[in-house]
Amino acid sequence: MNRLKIYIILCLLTIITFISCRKNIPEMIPPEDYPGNDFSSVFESFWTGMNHNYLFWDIDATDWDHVYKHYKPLFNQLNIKNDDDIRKAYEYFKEMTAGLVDGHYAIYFKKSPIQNSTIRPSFSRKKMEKGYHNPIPLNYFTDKLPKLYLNDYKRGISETEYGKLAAVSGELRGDILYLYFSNFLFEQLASGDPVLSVIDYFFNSLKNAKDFKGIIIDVRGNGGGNIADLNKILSSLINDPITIGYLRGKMGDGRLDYTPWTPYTIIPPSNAYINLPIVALVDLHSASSSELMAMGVSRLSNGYVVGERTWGAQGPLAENFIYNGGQFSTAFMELVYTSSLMTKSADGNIYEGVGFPPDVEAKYDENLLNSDKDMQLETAIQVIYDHK
Amino acid sequence: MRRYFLLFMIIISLSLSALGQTEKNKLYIGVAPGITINKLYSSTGYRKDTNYKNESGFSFAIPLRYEFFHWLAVQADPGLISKNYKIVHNAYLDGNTYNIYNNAFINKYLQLPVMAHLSIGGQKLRIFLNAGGFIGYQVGARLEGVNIIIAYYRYDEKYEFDSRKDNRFEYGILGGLGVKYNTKSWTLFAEGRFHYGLSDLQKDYMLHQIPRYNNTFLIQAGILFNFFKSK
Repeated sequence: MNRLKIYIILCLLTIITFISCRKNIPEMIPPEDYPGNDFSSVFESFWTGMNHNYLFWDIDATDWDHVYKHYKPLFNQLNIKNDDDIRKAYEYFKEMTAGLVDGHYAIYFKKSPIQNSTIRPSFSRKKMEKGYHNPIPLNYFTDKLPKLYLNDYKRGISETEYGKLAAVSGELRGDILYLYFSNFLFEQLASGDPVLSVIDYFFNSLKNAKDFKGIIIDVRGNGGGNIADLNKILSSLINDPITIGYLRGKMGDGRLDYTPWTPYTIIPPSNAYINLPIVALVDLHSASSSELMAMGVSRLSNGYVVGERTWGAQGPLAENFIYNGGQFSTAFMELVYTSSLMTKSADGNIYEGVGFPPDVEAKYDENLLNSDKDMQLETAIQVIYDHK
Repeated sequence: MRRYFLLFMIIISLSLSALGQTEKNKLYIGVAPGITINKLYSSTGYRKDTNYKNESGFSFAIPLRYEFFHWLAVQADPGLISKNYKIVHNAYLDGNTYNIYNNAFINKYLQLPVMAHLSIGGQKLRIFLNAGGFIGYQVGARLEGVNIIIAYYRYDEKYEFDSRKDNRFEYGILGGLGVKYNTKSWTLFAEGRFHYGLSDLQKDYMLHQIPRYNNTFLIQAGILFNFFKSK
């Protein structure tokens, strides 16, 4: 029995020894709760916020651990009361985020003298790419294009809290139904709004779709908006549900903790099937919901994506607490604007940062556009005539 | 750490073997089904209304017991064991509560517990204590649950391990308390056992990582047969 006691004591000692072998759980502080009274705290709040909230670590080539080891000592040398050091910090933030793949990504600052400066890695990269061009001006779509190409049309422009919104719809060459809208924000507009009335005009025209040879939905320069608007347009073109892609969010604070891929399926409200060629006309400034629109149209047997490769910002955004990921703020930063969800196309590819490719490429040609020849639109028209 | 733990397991086995040279030794083999309740030891930090929850599962082991004395044996229970847990996240929007996700991780491990088996009591009815360690390998996992990432979505799918993140090798210590009824040729037993994981379920793939460990409570009952006798 003495031996039994010795064994029990040995077992208990061993258990106590091993129990202490677990790693400690580090304290997690919300990024906005760091004091931000020195650059060490400013860096920690941003780096940690990104560490736990950024969605794209799975596909992003940025070595975030290296960023910590390299920039932490540099930030420790900066004085938050010195304007030159604040500008230097801005440059550091710009360097460390330069390769982030999130096409929506932006940092807005609170602190003078950089409160009006914004870091947009995706935009900085795009500007350097061959073939980059500025967005086609809004008044081209509202003034020039209708005069050049539309016979009978309706145009609406609204000044809203989101800026100027515009939409145009009409008959193109008498046999194609055309719709342009600058943002996916019309569902939020009040009844009777000029932009909303254009959208209603488009939906009414769809009821007589048999009179047309095809439909062009022009989302060139469209930076996206609410996916409810996307659902409304796409669902009006189908009679069977279509899965345009898959979405996933964070499920834990690890960089690679994700929810399962969840199908993003558009369900038609009624039998509104349009048996006509449908073209989504896109350019490199078509972003977010516009890209999801292109993905959706590409899934239709009668759908074609014409134009340029899109921007590459397909992750929807929401407040951080909804999906436990995405955008956040700190004492130093007004907002770190980043996607809350990650999108995978139905073809199995992730086009974040690279853009969704068109089925038929039509490059932007500024000289021809200035000579009243919209080659991208004319390619879209030709695609419809070729496939009717 | 892993190396020290393996050394510990070997020392337990060898020291117990060295003891058993004087009396008639008995080798038992049997079956032991059971149910598990697993609790993940981790943290969801400051995330609002996001919690890890316990989840039940099953186990099945083939216990091998080598008895040196009537009060001391060494036992190994190779088998399959579930170490499941849930993560649940709700969000409050416009006065309504939305269950953004309610996800169960259904984790199956092939596990080898090795332990000292100490018992007291009468010739037939005895109370026993098991103490030792275990090593395991996660052979499969499933994700089951619902989310409203975009719309209500119910899923039950195979989890694809991510070699950058997932640490499928597990080890830890265990302690169990039970009762057994002996006859000449078989032993019936029931036991409550606690597995205390010492290995993080994730590899060290990121700075400021939140560790995750399994705490698994097992209730099992079984029967052991005395097939072999040795001197």
